[in-house]
Amino acid sequence: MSGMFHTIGQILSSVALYYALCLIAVYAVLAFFSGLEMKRYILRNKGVKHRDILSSPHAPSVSILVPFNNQAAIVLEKVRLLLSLHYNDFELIIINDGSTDNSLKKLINSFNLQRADVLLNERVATAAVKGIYRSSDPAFSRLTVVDKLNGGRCDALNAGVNVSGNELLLCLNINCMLEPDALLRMVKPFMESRIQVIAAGAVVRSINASDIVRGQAVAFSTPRGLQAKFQVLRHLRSSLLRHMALSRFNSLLHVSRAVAMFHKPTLISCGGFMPECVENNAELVIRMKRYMIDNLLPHRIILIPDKICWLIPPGNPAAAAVQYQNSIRGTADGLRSHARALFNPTYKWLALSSASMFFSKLIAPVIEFTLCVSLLGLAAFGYIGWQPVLIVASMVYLFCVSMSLLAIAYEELTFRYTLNFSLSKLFAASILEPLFYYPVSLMWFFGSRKGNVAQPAATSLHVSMVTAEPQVPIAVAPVKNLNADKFANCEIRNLTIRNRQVLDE
Amino acid sequence: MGLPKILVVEDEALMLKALEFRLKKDGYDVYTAKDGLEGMEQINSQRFDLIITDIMMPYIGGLELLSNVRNNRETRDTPVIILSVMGIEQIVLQGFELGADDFVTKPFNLSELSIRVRKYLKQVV
Amino acid sequence: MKDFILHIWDYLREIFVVRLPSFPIAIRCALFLIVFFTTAIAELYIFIAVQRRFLYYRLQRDTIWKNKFSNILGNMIVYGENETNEAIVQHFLPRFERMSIHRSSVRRILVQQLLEYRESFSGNTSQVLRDIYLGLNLDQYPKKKLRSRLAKDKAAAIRELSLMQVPGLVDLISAYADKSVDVANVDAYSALLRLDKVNPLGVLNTIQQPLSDWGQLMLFDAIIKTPGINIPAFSTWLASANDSIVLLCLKLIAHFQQHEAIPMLLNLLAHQNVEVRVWAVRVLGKLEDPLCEGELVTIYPNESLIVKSEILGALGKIASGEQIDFLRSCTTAPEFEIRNKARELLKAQEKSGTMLSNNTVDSNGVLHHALNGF
Repeated sequence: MSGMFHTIGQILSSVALYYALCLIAVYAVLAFFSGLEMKRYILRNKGVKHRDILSSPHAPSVSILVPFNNQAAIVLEKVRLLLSLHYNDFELIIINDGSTDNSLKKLINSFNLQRADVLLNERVATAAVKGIYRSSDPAFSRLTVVDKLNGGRCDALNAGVNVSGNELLLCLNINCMLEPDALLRMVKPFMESRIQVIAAGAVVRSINASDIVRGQAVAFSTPRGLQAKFQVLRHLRSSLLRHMALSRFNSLLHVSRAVAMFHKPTLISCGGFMPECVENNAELVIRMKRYMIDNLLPHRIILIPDKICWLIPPGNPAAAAVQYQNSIRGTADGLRSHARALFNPTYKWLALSSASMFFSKLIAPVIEFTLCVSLLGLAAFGYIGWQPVLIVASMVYLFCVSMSLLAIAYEELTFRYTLNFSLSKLFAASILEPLFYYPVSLMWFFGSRKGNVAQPAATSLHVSMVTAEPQVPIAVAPVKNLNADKFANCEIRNLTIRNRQVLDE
Repeated sequence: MGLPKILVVEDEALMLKALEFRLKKDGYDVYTAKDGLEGMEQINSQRFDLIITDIMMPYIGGLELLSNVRNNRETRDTPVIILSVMGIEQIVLQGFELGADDFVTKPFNLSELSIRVRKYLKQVV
Repeated sequence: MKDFILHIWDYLREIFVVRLPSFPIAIRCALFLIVFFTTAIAELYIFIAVQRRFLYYRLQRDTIWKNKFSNILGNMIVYGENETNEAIVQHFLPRFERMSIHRSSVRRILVQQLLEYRESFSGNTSQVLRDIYLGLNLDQYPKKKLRSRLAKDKAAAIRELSLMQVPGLVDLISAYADKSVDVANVDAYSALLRLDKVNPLGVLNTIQQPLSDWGQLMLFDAIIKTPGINIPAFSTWLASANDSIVLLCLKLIAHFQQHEAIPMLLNLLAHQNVEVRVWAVRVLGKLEDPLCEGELVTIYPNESLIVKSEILGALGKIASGEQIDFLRSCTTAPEFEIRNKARELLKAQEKSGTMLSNNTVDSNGVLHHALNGF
């Protein structure tokens, strides 16, 4: 009996060792290529006068879509800030996703909004739109407010897609704070590339609430609270050391929900946002890529490392947990609805990248958890020596710390806003992070599996509803968790579409 | 009556400095603001004889500032000159619609600007 | 405590020195990585700390210089209305010479400010800025950079020199211009084109690779913003095999309103590239020549949706009133975009009075009605 445990111990410890060595090799390679890609970006944009695009009549027009729900406290300020972005030609579409507070009233009063009669082109299906408002004051001529029944964030974005009149869509989280020339930086890759760029994400930076004055970052101080520091490190590591390399090889599947630019025709032809999209748009990105590959269209998805967007990181563990679980759930849903692409060799790179995403997000935590627990157990009962366990653990630990420091170094060399962060505090955080954050995130990971219940009945209804509109292609992905509210909305929506068609004829 | 008061609202520090120096030299009382909000605060706290403003500024842009100035009973008649980058016709149209008195596009001649300023201040006085 | 540290030290020594040869290769690898990561952490920490000190110091120093230079330049700009340029330069040159502009970091700040002012101001001020630049012999540095291997450096140098209109540059650049330079890096080209006054657009003949939208934008910008350039008839390039050059020229034709290009534009309506067709239609609209309306209506039925909608747009721009019936027929088209656009155009023409009839399609309040009862 004990002999068997001895053998298992031997095997497991060498598995753990080789597993760790492989991961380290992969991450090191990715970090290396990320560095190259950052360097390329910096070189390409060095000395570029971004205001040149601004003054040109041939810069593409952009629609900014900002959905919100019950955010009366910040919505006015946000609209103001977005209207003063530095760009020649953009429209701002604010979508009130069935707020129950007075935010719409506030908007109407402070921007002199009036109901506008607009023909709606329902390219993607949404919950019923109650009204579209535009300002009578020419200073706010760029603003459109869409008032609709509640249907969730993605549904609101779809309503924005229907209203928008431009080819590029910037989807924005209302909590995000954009740099004044963010649009210029986001648009440039779309213009530069001779291959069609279908989506572009940006690295979202963290900022303290106290550093924002009048909606602008005035200072950059160390993120307050241990949780926020962990979050910053984790985010910098994943985007600067991994996603940049993926972007270089055009296999990026992670486009941040907070700020992302999409090519509208592609987005519409693959069915728009799906009502259950969460944190990282994984499902949508895979869908868009599949559409492009199926139609043999060359395409690119890129990540812009520049300073574009700031977000206040969740300070308390509960919020961070929700964010993390949403991200996991989004990945799981996205991959599940495209399971065939995942194992289909005709998709080559897409298959490989989604497989690696599947592995790193969903499988790796399970493997790591099992290995840790079993090795610790075996060592505790004396079946294997502590020494190999210690060696592997300290190797992984030191690797994590050095990666955190490398990410900070990248940031310091390129965009430099971390200059005023206290280095010793960041260092302390990166030393503590693998010890505390990692086990906690494992806990969150297993917590997130519970919330996943598919409801096939709702799915069929949704699909048939979408096909009722002839211009929308049949939805690729099934939709989960449609609750009773949304059922009601679907019916309303059907009704309005029918009404509208009657009127059209 | 003291010197004519001019408010310059511009977010590029270098440009602001040049304008400030030049207008002071021309014999005006020059106030400066680094962005639209600061500009609005100054406009609300005192009367100016002329306002020169940039278009692209964070938080409150030039057009909104102009719209606020025109909608306020006290400042309704204050002349406003707008500085803008070349080639944005749409904004020029919007600006005139909102009641801007003049547009100056970069690059511009400083002497020309000071002549325009003189013209508007003569009207006021 | 001391014992504990000694104990650990002994333990590490045992692993890394004494027992090292007896470990299997994978463990040895892991041990090596442990040492490697530890040093990497230490090095990264030191690197970041040193880098910070350095940057911090540099930023502080830069701010001081920036202030100094902007004060002098500000004074210079307002100095003596009636003085001649020479007098102003005479007065200010020594002040600049006293600054340590031989140091590249200081010089960079000065040049940057000179360039910024030079871009913002025209007339006398701009002339004085140029004289100061030349007086300080600042042009020698970018001239050296022309020899650089990096296209980016070269482009920046050319941009600086051309903005300052340094005399005799055409020869210099043609000597050093890299014929193989990447077209994506259009900065260099646009600057070349700023300079050569005799044949400023000769560069359009030589570009072989397709230009990106960004490249087109940069070239367009350079062509329309360069004062004193003699504008050729851009229709010469409409037959070019390079579609991106055709696109660029279409945009330029619209900008300079070159009506003589219309016959060539009508030829382009049969071009195989959709984007070119779209732009040809758009430019025809911008030229507002009523004579091409008939042609547009003729090609309409066989076109793709995007060109169709562009044709409607062009008809709306031309708005001769001849095509009302056509527009009205479009209001029942199967495609939403077409219907919507046709309605908007009819409404707009109705407003401006070109429209005669009264029974246009009622598009008011469609959304409104559709939602009655909510």
